[in-house]
Amino acid sequence: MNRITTSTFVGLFLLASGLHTLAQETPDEPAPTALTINHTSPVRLVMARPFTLDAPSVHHWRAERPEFHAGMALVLQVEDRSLIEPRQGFEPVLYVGSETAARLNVGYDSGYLVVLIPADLDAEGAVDLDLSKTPIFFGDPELPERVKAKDARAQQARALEEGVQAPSTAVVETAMQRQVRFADDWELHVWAANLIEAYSPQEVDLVSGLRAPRVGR
Amino acid sequence: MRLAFLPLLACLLMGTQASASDLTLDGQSSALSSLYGSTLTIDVVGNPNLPCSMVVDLVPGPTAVNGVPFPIGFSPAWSIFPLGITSPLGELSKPITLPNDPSTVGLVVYTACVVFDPTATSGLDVSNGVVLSVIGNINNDKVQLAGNTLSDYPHFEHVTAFNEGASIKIGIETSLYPGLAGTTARVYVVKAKNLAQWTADPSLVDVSSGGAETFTFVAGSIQNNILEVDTGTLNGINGTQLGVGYDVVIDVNNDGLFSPGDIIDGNGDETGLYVVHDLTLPGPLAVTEILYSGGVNLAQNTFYPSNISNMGQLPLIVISHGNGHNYQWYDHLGEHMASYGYVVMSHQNNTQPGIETASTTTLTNTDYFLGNLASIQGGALNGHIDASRIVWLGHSRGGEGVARAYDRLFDGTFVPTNYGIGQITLISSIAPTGFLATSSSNPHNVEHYHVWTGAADADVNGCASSNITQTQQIHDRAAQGRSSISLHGVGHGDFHNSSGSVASGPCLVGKPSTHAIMRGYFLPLVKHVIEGNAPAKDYLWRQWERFQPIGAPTSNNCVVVDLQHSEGPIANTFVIDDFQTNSALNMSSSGGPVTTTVANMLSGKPDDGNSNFTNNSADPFNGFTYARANDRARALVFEYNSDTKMTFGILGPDQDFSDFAYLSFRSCQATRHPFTTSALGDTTFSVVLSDTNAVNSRINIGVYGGGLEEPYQRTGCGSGVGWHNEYETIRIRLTDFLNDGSGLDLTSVASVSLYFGPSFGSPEGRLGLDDLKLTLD
Repeated sequence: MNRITTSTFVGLFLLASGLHTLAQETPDEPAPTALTINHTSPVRLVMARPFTLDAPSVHHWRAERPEFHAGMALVLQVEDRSLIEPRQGFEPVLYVGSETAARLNVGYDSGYLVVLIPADLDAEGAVDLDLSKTPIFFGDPELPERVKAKDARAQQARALEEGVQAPSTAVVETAMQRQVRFADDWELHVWAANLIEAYSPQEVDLVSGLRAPRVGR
Repeated sequence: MRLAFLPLLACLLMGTQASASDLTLDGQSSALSSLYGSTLTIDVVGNPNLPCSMVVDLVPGPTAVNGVPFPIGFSPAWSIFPLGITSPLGELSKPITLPNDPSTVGLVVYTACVVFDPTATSGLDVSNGVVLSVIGNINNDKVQLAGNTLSDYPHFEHVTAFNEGASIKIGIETSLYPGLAGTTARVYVVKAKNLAQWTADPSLVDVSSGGAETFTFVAGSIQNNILEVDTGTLNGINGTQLGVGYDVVIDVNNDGLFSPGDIIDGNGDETGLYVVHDLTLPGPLAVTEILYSGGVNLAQNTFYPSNISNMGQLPLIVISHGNGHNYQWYDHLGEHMASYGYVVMSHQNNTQPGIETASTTTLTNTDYFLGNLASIQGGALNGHIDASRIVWLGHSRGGEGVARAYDRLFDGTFVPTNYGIGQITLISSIAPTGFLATSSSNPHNVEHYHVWTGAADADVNGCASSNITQTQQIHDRAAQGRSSISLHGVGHGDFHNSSGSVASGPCLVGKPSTHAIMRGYFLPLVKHVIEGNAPAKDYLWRQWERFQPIGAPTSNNCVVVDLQHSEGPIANTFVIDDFQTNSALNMSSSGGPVTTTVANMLSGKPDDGNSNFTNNSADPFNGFTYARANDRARALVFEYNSDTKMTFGILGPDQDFSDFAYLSFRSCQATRHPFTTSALGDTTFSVVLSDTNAVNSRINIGVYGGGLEEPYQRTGCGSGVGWHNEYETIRIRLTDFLNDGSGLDLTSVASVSLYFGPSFGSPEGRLGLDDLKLTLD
C-alpha cells in the first residue's frame, strides 16, 4: 500500500484549502433576509393520510436529503394564494413542524396543496406524527434543498413565537384517514395524483403526467 | 511587362499562317478572357489566298490609318505579326498559346487582323477588333459571389442563406480579379457539386430563372458589377435538411464548363449558397408522441419520427422545464424538431426544491432514457439514438439546471452510466435563473451554449435587483461557442405552450408569435451546432431586421429580436480586445495601443452596480446584467455626442487579416442614459480598417440592417424607461472593406477603428463594447 508522505499530505491539504477558498469566493445567491411573508397566514389541514413505503424514498426538499420509509400525505388549503404563486426565484418554504414539506402540485389556481411529510414509525408500525402538535406554516423564502434540519427547527420556533398554532385535535381527527402502504414512491405519487385531481382539478397536465404508464410494468 | 508582352505574343505568332475581315478568338468576336499560358484559336475569314497579319496594342482604337479605321490605338507599344495566307476558301485558323507568365495577368490586349487585299480600300481589309483579357488562376477557395445589395458602402453583402422566394444576386469586386473588368461572361447558378462531382462533370447547367446570364464586368464600383441571377424561383425544400445548395459560376472563357480561370462561389466541396424553406413550418416527417414514466421524477414525454425504424441514429434533444411548469408544455418544440429528424424527450423536472435537484433530474432522465431504449415504447427507439450528439434545453430554473448539470459532469460529481460530458454538444437555456455561483452553474467548454431572454419576463425579469433573475450571466461564462436571442415583449410563460404569458411591459408579443420565432430559430441553432449545417448559421447572427425565417411574425410590430453569436472553438479566433486579459484602457488584449477621444470610457465588469436601472453617473455599468461578483467577464463603456473615434492598433505579427473571414464584436446601448433615450431607435457607427500604407476603408454597421437596438421600453426597476442592455453581435466580412477598389491591404492592417458621431452614424450614444475579434468563419 502506498503511504502518503507528510509533505504530500500537506500539499493536498493546502490544495484542498485553496479549492475551498475558491469556492468561498463565489457564493451561491443568498435568500432574502428581510421578512416578506406572513408566517401566520392560515394553512388549513383538509386531509391527512399516513403511509409507509416498502422501498425507501429520498426527501429532496431538505439539504440532508434524508431517506424515509414512511410519512404523511396532506391536503392543505392555503388562504393567501400569493404564497404559492409559482415563480422561479425564492418561494416561501412550506413547513410541517420542523420538516420541509414536499409539494406535489402548484395549487395556485385551486388554493389546495398536496404535500408529503417524511416521518418515523412508532413501535406499532404507525406513522409517528401528531399533527395536533405540529404547526403548518410558510417560512422564509429559500430553496428547500438548501434548508438544513437546524434551519427548519429555527423556522418552527419563530413561527410558534409569532403565534402559529397547530391544527386543533378536532380538525386533525376530521382530516385523518387510515394508514396506507405503498411498494415505492412511484405508487405513492400515482395515488397522490388522485388527490391533486380531486382538490386541484385545474392541474390536468400534472395529473396526467403523474399517471404516465410505468415502463416495464 | 506590359510592353514586353506584345513582342512576346508576336514571337509566338511568328511562323504561323492565317487571314482577316472577320476575326474571332476562341469563337468570340468582341471580347474574351483567357488564362495566361492557355491556348486560343484564332479564326479569320477574308478573301482567299491573301496574306494576313494580326495587329495588337494595349490601347483601344479606333484609329484611322490612311483613312482606314483600326480598332486599336497604335500606341508606341503596338505590334504587327504575320499569321499566314488565307485558304482557297478564304479561311485561316491558327492556335496560339499565351505567354505562360503570371505577371501578364490583368493585361487587356486589343487585337485585329489585317488582310492585305488589293481589292480593298488602301489595300487593307481590317477585321473587327477583339479584346483579350489575360486572367490568372483564381483561388476560388475564398470567392464569394452570392448576396444582396446594400444601400450604402460596401454596397453588397455576400451571404450563405437565402429564403425561398428571395431574389439572388451576385456582386463582384473586379479590382480583386485582374483581367475580369471588360470581360463578358456567362453566369450560371447550378445545383451544388462537390469536388468529385465537378471533376467528373464540369458542365454548367443553369437552374435559375431565365437561365445563365450574360454580363460584362467593368472596372470601378462593385455597384456596377451586381447582377440578379434568380428572381426567387429556386427550390429550398430538402427533406429534413436545411437548405438546398447551389453553386454560382462565372464562366470567364464562356466554354460552358467549369474550367481553369473560371470563378466559382462554392469551390470544391463547399457550397456557394443555400435556398432555405420556411423554418417555422413542420418538417416532412410524421411524428409520434409518447408519455411514460421510469419512476418518480422520471416521467417523460417523447417525440420521434414515426418511421424511425427505417432511419439511422438521430440526435437527442432533452427538455427540462421550469418551476411550476410541466414537462408536457413543450409540444411546439417537440413536434417541430421531431418532424426534422430529432428525438425530443421532455422530462419531469424536480425544480421546486432547487437548482441542484433540477440538475439531478436532467442528468438522471437523460441517463434513464439512454439506458432503457430497449423498453421504452417496446424498443421502438432502440438503436436509433445518436448519443454522441445530445442537446439539453432548459427553462427558467430548468434553464439554470441544465448548466448546473453540465457543471456537475465537468466536476465529476455526477457520473452517468450511459453517456458522458463529451456527448453534451449544445446547452440552451430559456430565461435561466441565477441562483448558483460562477463555479457551479457554468457551461465551461461545452461546444456551444445558448440563452433565450424575454425582455417582458415578469418572473426571471432581468432587473438589477437580483442575480437570480438575470438571464445572461451563464452565457458569458461559456468558454467556447455561445449565442443568445433576446425578444422584446416576450414573457416568461410565452416560451411554453400552457396558459399565461407572465409578462410585463409594453407591446407584448404573445405565444403564437413567440412560438413561431422559437421554431424558426431553434431548428437552425440545433442544425448548425449538431450537424454543422452551413446556412443555419446565417439565422443565428444576421440582423433580424434584414433576415429572418420566412414564417417569422414580421407583421407583428412588437417583435424585436436581438442576436448574439460567437462561434467555437475559441482557437479559431484572434481576439483584438476582450477588455478582460488586459485591463489597461490604453492597451488591448492583443497588446496593441488603444487611443480614443470618446468620453467617460471605463473597462469593467458588465454588472449593474446597484439594484436598479435608474440612470446614474455613479453606476457606469448601469443596465448590464452579464456578470456578477466573481464572473470574469469584462466590457467597455463610453459615450459620445460629437464626432469621435476609438482606435485599436494591431501589432506587427498580427497584422495579416487575410486568413480571417469576419471582424466581429458585440455592442449595446446603455439603458436610460440621456444619449440613449434622446433618439429611440437603433444606434449605428462606423468601422474603419487602416493598413500600414495609411489606406482606409470605412463601413457603417447600420448598412447590414438595424444596428444596436434601443433597450425594451419597459418601466420599473428604478425610474426611467428602458430595460436591460442587450448586446448584439456585429459581423463584417473583411473583404467588404475592399469594395470599390479601396486598395486596403488585408495582409497588413495597422488598426481597427470605431468612428462615432453624426458624421459616422448616430449623433450621440452611450454604448457597451466587447469581444472585438477576427473569426475564420
